[in-house]
Amino acid sequence: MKISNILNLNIKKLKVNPKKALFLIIPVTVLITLSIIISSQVQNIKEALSSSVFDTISNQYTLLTVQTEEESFDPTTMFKGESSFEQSKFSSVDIANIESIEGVKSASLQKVIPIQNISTSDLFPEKTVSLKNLSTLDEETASLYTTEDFTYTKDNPIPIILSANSFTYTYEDWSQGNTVIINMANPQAEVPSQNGQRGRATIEKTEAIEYTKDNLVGRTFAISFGGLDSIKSYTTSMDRVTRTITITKLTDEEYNAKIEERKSAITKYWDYDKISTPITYTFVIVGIDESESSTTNYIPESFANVLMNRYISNEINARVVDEIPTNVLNSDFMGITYNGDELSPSGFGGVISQIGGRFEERMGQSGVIPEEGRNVSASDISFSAITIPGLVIDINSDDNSVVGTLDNPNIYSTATKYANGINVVLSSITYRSQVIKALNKAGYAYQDLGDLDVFENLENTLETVSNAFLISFIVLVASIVILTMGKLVSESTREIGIFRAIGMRKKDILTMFISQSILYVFIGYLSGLILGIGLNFLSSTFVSSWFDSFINETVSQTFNVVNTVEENIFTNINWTSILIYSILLFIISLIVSIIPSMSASKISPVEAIKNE
Amino acid sequence: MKNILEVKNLTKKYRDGDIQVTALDNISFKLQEGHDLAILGPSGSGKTTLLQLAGGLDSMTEGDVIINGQSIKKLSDQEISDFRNKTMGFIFQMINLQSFLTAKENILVPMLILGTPKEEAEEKAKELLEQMNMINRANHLPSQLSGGEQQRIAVARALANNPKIIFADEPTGKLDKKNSELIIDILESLSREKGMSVVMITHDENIAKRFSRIIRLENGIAKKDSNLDNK
Repeated sequence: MKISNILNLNIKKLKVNPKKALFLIIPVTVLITLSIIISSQVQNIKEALSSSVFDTISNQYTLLTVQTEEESFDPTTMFKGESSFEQSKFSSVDIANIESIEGVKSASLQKVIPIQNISTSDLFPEKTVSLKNLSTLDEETASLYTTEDFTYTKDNPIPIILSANSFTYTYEDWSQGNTVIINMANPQAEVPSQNGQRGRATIEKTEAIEYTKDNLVGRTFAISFGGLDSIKSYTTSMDRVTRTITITKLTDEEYNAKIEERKSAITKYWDYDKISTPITYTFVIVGIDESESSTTNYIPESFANVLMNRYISNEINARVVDEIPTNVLNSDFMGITYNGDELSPSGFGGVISQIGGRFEERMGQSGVIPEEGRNVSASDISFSAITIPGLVIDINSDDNSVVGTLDNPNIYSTATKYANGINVVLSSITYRSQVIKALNKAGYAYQDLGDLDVFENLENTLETVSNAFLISFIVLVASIVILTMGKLVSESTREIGIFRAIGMRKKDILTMFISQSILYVFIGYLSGLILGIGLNFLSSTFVSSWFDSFINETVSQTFNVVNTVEENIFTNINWTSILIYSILLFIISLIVSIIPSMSASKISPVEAIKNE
Repeated sequence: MKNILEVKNLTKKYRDGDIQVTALDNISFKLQEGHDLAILGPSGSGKTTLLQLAGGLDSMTEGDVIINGQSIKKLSDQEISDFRNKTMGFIFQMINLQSFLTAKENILVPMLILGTPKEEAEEKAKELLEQMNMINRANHLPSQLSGGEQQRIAVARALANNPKIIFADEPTGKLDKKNSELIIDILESLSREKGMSVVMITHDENIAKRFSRIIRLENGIAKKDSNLDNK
């Protein structure tokens, strides 16, 4: 019998008795629908991740920032005046070390801006935020943090990436009166704070400021660089017997007297107004780094030179004498030190021997305060030393003696920069744990906070879901076809018997049942296609909002600028997958349907004769 | 005159569990072309088995069946199928129309199996429907037809490929008296007027008597052949 006639027979069978066919058609429809939705949305989520999140975040995760450890103040290093290299800051040697680790694409120093007073009152109303760690970021590394241009163009706000940990402000809490006594034995219990609850055992309190990332990104604001340190508005004294510390607020007169005292010291050599007025620049926030460990704020490398040049020029231009005498440098007046190689920010690294001399006089070589029985700490040093913003002091690298002022505004661009961090860029995410291990082994502490897990987990889950579904699909198609066709054949014995009795060949019976399976599968396939594409479209809203919340939850811990993913991405269909599933469907159906169809062909024409 | 059907020492044995059953035991007879034959016997007599073997629907244990000069024993399954399609027509007690095909389509099936061109087949089907007075019901499904009407369509189907021999297995078994008469009339006329050879199985003596020759079967053995009696 011609195939077209056989097919016609199947179609007529279907028309008259569609119910039986549904047992095969409906499961196929469901499977195809699911395959479309699952494979499309898996692909869409992957693409959304890579185009929005991974472009920045995964780049973020290919970026490790190794920071120096918190330094404990070792007085001996102060005396030795070691360079930053010996003080376990980072240098080009570390770069070379790290770049030799397998999986590391590049390493660059996070160069600190050696300016002491950096602050802004512009960001949060009535709160001054101090931006202590300001470092530079080269454009390449910056591109991993933000899609905005990270360069300096004159007369435009300068891009800056702020660390959320900077959003704190410090204030003096005089709510308990102008004299505060702290009992050393139980400082916590004795010091109430503003709202009556227990507070820190000190006058100076620091509070974190609430912020909304979206409100900040894109904002322009002014940052002040330089100016004079604020003068402490209180004195501290200690009573060993009663084991108490007494903090006394200065009166206005006492306070003003201190300011005047400083002013007159400064005006000997500098124009007071010029020195005391900070330089300001306008910045635009292009990113907020919300990682827990980082406190670094970043500005473009190209701007750093401009800033430092102006900072230093400001001091040079403020001088009212031709030369500042060397004996007051690094003693009465502090600034950035330059030892012929590098600039050190605080003036502590480098030369302190001048101060050291005085120190030794007072404390003895051991650095121990005999009465107290403890080591010297920074607060013991009550110098009348004044920090002059922009002052660069030239130091002899051999004996750390002061040579004089360094009057080159461009010194920053040529000096070896002091780096408190290294940006390590990985060749790919897959190297991440390997490199972290190697770093730690080499002595660069890096704590993997593992935010990556979330994304790795998501990717793995997506893979697993895809694979699991694929396998289920194959198994289910095979099972469904065999079971339904098997049942169909067993219910068709009479029909087959009749055809055979009339002279239909075994071959034709075989063809008839195989084509019947394919016909039903095809119908299920078409319905599945339509339903799948339709439902995929509908599901896009759900997947989209899930994705948004997923990103918000996980991204909040990471630093990046996430591009809004196009809504449309989740309506996309994974045609390649559909093709694969289609091919699988028909091949499996074809092969599997042979088994029941073979049984059908073997049914004897005698069946037609049998009486019910 | 040629023998359209020759049954030679036909034996059918099969195993039912531990027991060996002999359904047919050494049956032999001949049927001339254009003649009719009724095979009469109670249930279990082997008449159905005889029809199955004669029609090549089942295999014989011993003996042979020769139809229109062709020995069935030697044919392959495919050859028997083709032969059956071309040379034989079957009418069943259960009627056995395909439930999903219309009356006309049921008649078309044997012709399509044969490979008859569509138009020719349609023509023939129409012709047969008219002969059976069923032309108005051509597009009805069997479920929409009465028992008698269905069997008439079955007869038409059996005639579709101009078979040499018709095998009818208790064709009136499921029909009422009136329709039974009708069908027997048709079968009778087939041999009388159309020169077709008809072999009919029945347990009903009265129906058997309508045919010109009766072979009685009992327990697989031919007890009586009216032909032989007549001679």
